[in-house]
Amino acid sequence: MNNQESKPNDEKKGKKLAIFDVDHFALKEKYWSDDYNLKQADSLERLGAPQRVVDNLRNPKPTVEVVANFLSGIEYLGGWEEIRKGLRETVSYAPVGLIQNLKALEKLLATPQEKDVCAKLVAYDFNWSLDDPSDENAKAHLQKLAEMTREVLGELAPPKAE
Amino acid sequence: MPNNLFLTPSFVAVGRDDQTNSQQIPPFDVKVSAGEFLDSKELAARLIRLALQTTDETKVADFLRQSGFELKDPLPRLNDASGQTFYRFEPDEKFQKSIESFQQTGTALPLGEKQVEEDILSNKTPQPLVRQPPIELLPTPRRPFAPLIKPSKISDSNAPSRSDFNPADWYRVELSPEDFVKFQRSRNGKEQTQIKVADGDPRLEIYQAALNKLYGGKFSEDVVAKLLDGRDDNTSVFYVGTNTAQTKDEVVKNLTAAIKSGNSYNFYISKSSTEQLMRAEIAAHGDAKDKLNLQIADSLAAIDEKYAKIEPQNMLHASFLALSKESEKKAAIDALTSASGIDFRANETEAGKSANYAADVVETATRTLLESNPLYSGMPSAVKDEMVKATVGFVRGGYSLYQTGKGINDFVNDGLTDGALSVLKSTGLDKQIGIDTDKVQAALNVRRAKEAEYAQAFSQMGTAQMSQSDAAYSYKQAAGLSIKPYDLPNWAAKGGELTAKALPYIAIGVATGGVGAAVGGGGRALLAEIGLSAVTTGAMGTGETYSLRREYIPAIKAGGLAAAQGAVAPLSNRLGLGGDLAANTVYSVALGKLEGKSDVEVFQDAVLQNAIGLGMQAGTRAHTEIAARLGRSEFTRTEAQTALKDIFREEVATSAQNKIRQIEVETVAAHLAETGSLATKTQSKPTIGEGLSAKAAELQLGGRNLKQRALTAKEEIVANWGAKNKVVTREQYEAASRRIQNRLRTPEGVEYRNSGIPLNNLPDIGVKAAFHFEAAAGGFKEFVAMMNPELAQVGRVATTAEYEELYRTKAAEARVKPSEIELAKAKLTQRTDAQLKADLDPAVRAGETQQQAQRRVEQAKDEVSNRGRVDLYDALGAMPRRVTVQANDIQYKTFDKAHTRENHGANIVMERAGAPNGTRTIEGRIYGDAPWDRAENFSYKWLDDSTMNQTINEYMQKNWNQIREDLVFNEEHNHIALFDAGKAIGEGYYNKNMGGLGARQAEYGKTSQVKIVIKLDQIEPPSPIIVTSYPAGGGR
Repeated sequence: MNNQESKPNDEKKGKKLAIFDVDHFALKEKYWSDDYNLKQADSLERLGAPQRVVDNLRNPKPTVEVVANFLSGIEYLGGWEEIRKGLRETVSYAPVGLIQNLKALEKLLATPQEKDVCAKLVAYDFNWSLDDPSDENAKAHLQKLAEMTREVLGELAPPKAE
Repeated sequence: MPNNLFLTPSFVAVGRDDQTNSQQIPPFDVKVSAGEFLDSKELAARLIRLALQTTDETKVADFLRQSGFELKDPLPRLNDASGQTFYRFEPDEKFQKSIESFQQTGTALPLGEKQVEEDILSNKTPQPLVRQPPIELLPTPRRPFAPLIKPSKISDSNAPSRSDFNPADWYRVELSPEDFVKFQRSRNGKEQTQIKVADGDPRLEIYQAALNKLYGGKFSEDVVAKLLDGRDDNTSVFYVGTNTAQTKDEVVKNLTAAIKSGNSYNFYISKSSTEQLMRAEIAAHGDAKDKLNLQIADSLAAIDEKYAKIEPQNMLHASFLALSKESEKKAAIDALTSASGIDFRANETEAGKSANYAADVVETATRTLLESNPLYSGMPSAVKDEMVKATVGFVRGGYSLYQTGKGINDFVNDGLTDGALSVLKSTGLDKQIGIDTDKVQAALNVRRAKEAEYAQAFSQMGTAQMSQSDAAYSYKQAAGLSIKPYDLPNWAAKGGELTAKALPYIAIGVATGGVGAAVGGGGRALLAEIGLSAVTTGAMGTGETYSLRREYIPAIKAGGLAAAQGAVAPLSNRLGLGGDLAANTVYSVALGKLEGKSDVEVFQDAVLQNAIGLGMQAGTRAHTEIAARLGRSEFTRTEAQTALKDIFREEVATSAQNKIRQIEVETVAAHLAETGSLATKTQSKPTIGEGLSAKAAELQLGGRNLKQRALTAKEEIVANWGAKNKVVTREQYEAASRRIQNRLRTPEGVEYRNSGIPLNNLPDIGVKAAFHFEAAAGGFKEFVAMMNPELAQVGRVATTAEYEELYRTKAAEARVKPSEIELAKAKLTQRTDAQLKADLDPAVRAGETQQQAQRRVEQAKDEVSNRGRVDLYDALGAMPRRVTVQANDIQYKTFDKAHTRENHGANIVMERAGAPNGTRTIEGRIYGDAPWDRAENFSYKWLDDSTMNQTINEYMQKNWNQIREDLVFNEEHNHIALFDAGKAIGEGYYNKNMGGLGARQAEYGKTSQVKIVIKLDQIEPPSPIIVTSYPAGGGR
C-alpha cells in the first residue's frame, strides 16, 4: 500500500548541509550581541525544537564552564599549529560558537580569578603539561589561545571589551 | 528488565515455580599476560581447560564439541591487585552441571546454540520466542478436541438379551461391511470378499471400525491387541448384533453372517473397556494435547463427583452449588490448559506459519516494551498479558481488513494496477505496444488469491498464549459450560481488532450525522451511535459467538451491553473530556472498580473503550472530508459510502499519476546525467513493445511495475520530454546543447569546467533552463532534478538559492505566477516558505512602520535558518547511529582529523623504553616525545578495538538525543563528553607530578573514563563524525 512513498533528499546528497551554507559576515553583528542565545531560544521554541535545547539557551553557563568546554573541545588537536588549523576550520562552519567562546575566555582573563583556576583549566581541561605549571604561566598560555582565536576569527572577531 | 526476556517468555512460566534460585557459583578467571588478547575460540578453550582442571587438549576439544559451548559476548577483561590481567567468566548452573557431567560420565550436557536446538527437537519448553518454535501438528486423522467420552444412550429394541447386559455400560455402533478393510480373494475359483484380519483376531478390526465411527480415528493396533490379549473367553469386551459375541468364534460367526448379508449390524462396545483403551492409547502414543484432554476429563469428573456428594438443602442452595461447580470447572480447564504450555496454533500452511511467527515477534516486542518501561513493568502480569493480546489484536484487525474483497486492498493496490490496465485497454495502447492484458489480469488474480490466503492467516494470528485461551474456550463450549462475554477467546485482542475493522463503519456512521449533529443536541444521532456500536462491537465480539451457539436472546443482550459501553466514549467526549483517550480510560477504570471487576476485566474495558474512541476520531475526520466534498454536513449512509469511496479512488489516482510523473522525471534526469543530452537513438517501436510485454507479467508487483514500465520505455519518455513545448522547443534546446558541447571542447571550455563559471555567463544554460521550466509541469523540484545534470555537465553545482533565482526568472519570462512555485514544505509556523521569502524583502509595506518592517525581515531570516536546523534535527533521526571507528577514521581522516585509532588505538606502543626514536608511545606523550607536539598530563589508549567500538556505540545508543541536539543546536556543532564506561576500557599513563609537584613522571594506570568528541558531517546526508574518542584519566 506504500508504493507512493517518495525517497527524500536524494537530490541533496553530496552537497553542503543548509545550516552551514550561510553568509556569516552579513550576520556578524547579530552573532556578537549578548542576547543572541535568548533570541535563538525564542525562535527555536516557536519551531518546536527540543525543550532542553531552548532551556539551555536561556540559562547561560558560568564563564569558567564555557572556557573549560572550549578547551576540552580543542584539547585533542595537539600543539599550537594544529590548534590554529582546527580553529580556522571551525570558523568556516561554526563561527558563533567560537565567538562566544572567545568572549568567555577574554572575560575570564580580564577578571581576577581564584588561585589555580587557570592552572587547572590548562592542566586538566586543556590536558597541557607546561614546563612551568604555575598559575601565571597558565594564564599567559590561555592569553595566547585568546589571541590566536581572535586572529583566526579576523573580521568576525567581536569588538574588544572596554 | 530481566535479561533473559528473549529466552524465557514469561507466559511460559505462568503458573510455574521460578527456577532462578541458583546459588552463587565462583567465576573462572582466565589469566593472560599484559597485552595478550585472545579470540573467542582460544578463550573458550582456555576457559574449559580451567573448568575441567585438565591440560588434556583432547578432553577440552571433546567437551567443546559435545556441548557446543561458545562465547557469544566478549568477556570482561579485568585486573587484580597485583596487576595480573584476566578474562572473567561467570558460569551459570547449566554450565556447572555440564562440566560435572563431563567429569563424571564423559558426556557433556548441551550448552549454547546446541542446547536450544536440542530443546526444540525434543519439544521441551520453554522454547525461545525469537526463534520460530516448531508447533505441534495435530495427529492425523485428527481426533476431535472434545470431552473424552461421548455420552451415547442405547434404546433400540434389538439390544442383546443377555441377562447381564446393562445398556448404560455400552456404546452402540452400527457397522456395515463397508466399514471394514476388505480384500478380494479367490477361493475354489470363486471371487470372495473377506475382511482383512490381523493376527487372526477379527475383533481388532471390529474395534477399529467401531472406534473409527465413534471418534473418527483409529487406535494403534498394538494397544488394541494388548487389551484383547487374554480376554478371549469370558471378559465382556463387545457384542455383535443381537447375539452375544465375546469369543473369537462367536465374533467370526457373526461377522461372516454380516458380510454375507451385506447388512448393517449393531455392535456394542464396552464403555469401560473403551475408556481403558483410550487411556492406554494416550499413554502409548498420545501427544501432549491428548494428555491434556485426559487431564481435563479426569479433573471435570472429579469435580462432578465432588458435587454429587453434596445434598442441596433447598432450591437456592442448589443453584449456588451449580454456579460454584461451573466456575470450578472453568478454572480447572483454564489452569490445566495454561500449565500445559502447549501451542495450539495450527500451522499447516506457509502463511499460517508466518502468521504464528509474526505473532511471536509482536509479542516479544510488546513484552520488551512492557518490561523495560517503568510505567508498565510493575503491572500485574495478567494485565500485561492482556496488553500483549491487545497489541496482537491491532495487527490482526489490520489484516482482517485486507482479507475481504471489500477491504482497503481493493481500493489501493489493486485499484492502482487495475487503473493502469484499464487505461491501457481503453486507449488501445495495449495492442499497440504488445501487452496481453488478459495474461496480466490472470497473473493478478493468482496474486490476489495468494494475498487473500496470507491475510486470512494473519487475521487469525495469535501468540502461543492466545492459542491456549482459544483452546480453553472451545473446550468450555464443547463441555456445555456457561460462557460470559469475558470468557471469549482473546477478548482483549478483539478490542484491537475492533479499531481496524470498525473504522470504515464508524466513519460512515459518524459522517451520516453522528458527533457533529449530536453536539447540537439531536437525540436521533445518539441513538444512531448506539446502534452503530451495537453493529460493530456486538457483531464482532459477543454476538458472533452467541449466534454460533444459537442463543439469540443472549446475543441481543450482549449487543445491547456493548452498545451501551460504546455510547460512553462519545458521551465522555461531550462531557468536556475532550476526546482524550486517557480520560476515557480513567472513566472505564473508575467504573470498573466500582463494579468490582478484576484488573484484567478493567483493562479489557479500557481497550474496548479506547478502540471506540479512536474510531470516533477517525470518523470525525471522515465526516469533515465528506462534508467538504458534498458541500453540506448532513447526508445519508449511501451518500457517505459513495463519497468515501470516491475520495479513496481519487487519492489513489492522484498518487499513481504523481508516481508515474516522478518516474518520468527520474528517467529523463538519469538519461541527461548519462549522456548530457536529450538526443537519443530512437529504437523501433516493436523493440520497445517486446520489452514492455516481457515486463507485463511483473505488473502484479504493485507500484514497482510502474517504475519498470517507465524504465523499459525510457527512450520513449526521453523522446517525449518537452515535445509539447511552445516557447522553447526541443530543436532550440538541442541547438543549445550542441553549442555547449562545442564550447566545452575548446581550451576555454576546459577552463569553465575546472573553475565553475557563473550561470549568467552561459546563455545556452538559460535556454536549457527555459526549456526544462516549460517541460517540468511538476514545479520547482522537477526543475531542479532536470537542471542538476545539465549544470554538472559544465562543472557547476548550484545552491538552492541559485536554483530558486533561476526558476523565478524563467517563471517571469514564461509569464507564470511565482505563486505556483512550490519551493519547500512549510513547517510548524504559520508562514509558508513562500511567505517567508516575501518577508525577507526590506521594503516597507502598507500599514507598516520602518521598525516593524525591519523586525519582520529579522524574524524571517531567523526563521529560515532555524527551520533548516529543525529539519536537520529530524533528518538525523531518532534512531541512534552506529559507528565503526575503523571506517569512521578512514572516511574523515583528511578533513576532519578523525584520529581515534591513530593516537589512541590498541596497537600503539605503550612504553617509551625500548621504542625506536620517533615512535608514538602512550608513555612518551606525558613527556612530549616527538612526534607528539606537546606534553600532556593524561595519555591513554583503548584496551582493544572491540572494546573501543562497543563502548562508543553503547554511549551513542544511550545518549543519542543529547548528541543530535548538540550537533544541530549547539553553536559549535559538536558534542563533547567525558563519561564512565563502568569498567576498565583503557590503559595508559598520567603525569604523577602534574600541577607543579616536580619533574614529569608517567604513572601507569587503567581507566574507565572515556572522552568523546563528535562533530557533524557538513555534507548531505547528515551524519555524525567521531573526531576522537579515547580513554581519559583526567577531567573535572
